[in-house]
Amino acid sequence: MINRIDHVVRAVAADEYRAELLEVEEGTPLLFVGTTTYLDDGELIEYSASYYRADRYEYSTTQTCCD
Amino acid sequence: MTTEGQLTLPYSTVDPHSPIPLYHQIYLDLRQMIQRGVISPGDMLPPELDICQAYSVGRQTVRQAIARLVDEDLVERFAGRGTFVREQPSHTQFFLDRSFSQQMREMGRVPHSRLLSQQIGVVDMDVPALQAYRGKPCLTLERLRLGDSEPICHQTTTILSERCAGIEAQDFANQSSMKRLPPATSS
Repeated sequence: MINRIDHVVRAVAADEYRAELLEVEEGTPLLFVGTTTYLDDGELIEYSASYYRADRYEYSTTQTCCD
Repeated sequence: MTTEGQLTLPYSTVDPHSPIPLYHQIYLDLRQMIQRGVISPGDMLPPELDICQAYSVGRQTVRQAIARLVDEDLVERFAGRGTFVREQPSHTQFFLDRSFSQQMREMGRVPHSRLLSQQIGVVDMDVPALQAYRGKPCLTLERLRLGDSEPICHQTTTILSERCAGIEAQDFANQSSMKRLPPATSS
């Protein structure tokens, strides 16, 4: 079972390869989201590096108040 | 919605006992109405006093909420004329805790995935979280994620194959990878 997903977010400039894939100019700011998924036993199951177009999307996260 | 330039808005009820400040609840409520198009670009917000009455709050609270909308360029104030909703850029909210496919569906877009490469190998990336797993067998998928036909995300996913037997045989081209993993525990 998946227990935890960690996210790391930072801005990066589109390199030539990603610029072409995402149909933006080279150097356009992209949003990098690194996602690390852990199982119940604490072991890592998946790591994902995502580069989002940041020109039309914003990224949002909600923290519920607990404890 | 518009009656002689005045809007009657579907205000939500605010909760004075919530840990979220009242002005923020009002800001969120108004923002949602703007983002959902309940209040259209060019529409004037109701006068402050009307908003105060609608939420049963003081004027200062409403001013704070509107100031926040102004800060975020959602509305624009013109002295002596009122506060108007601005033309909205086509930003759409994403939630990090949802999969790409879920996000797209919530936006009313059809999620697509173009598989760029699929490789069986070992973990070799220079990422702190992966240090302890270097050399372990993994499946790496490189995908272009699209919403309708628009490219939105370039994604490289590394799945530790020891914990996901048979993962190599899956078809990832048109599937959400989250679905392939064991379901998340409820929290």
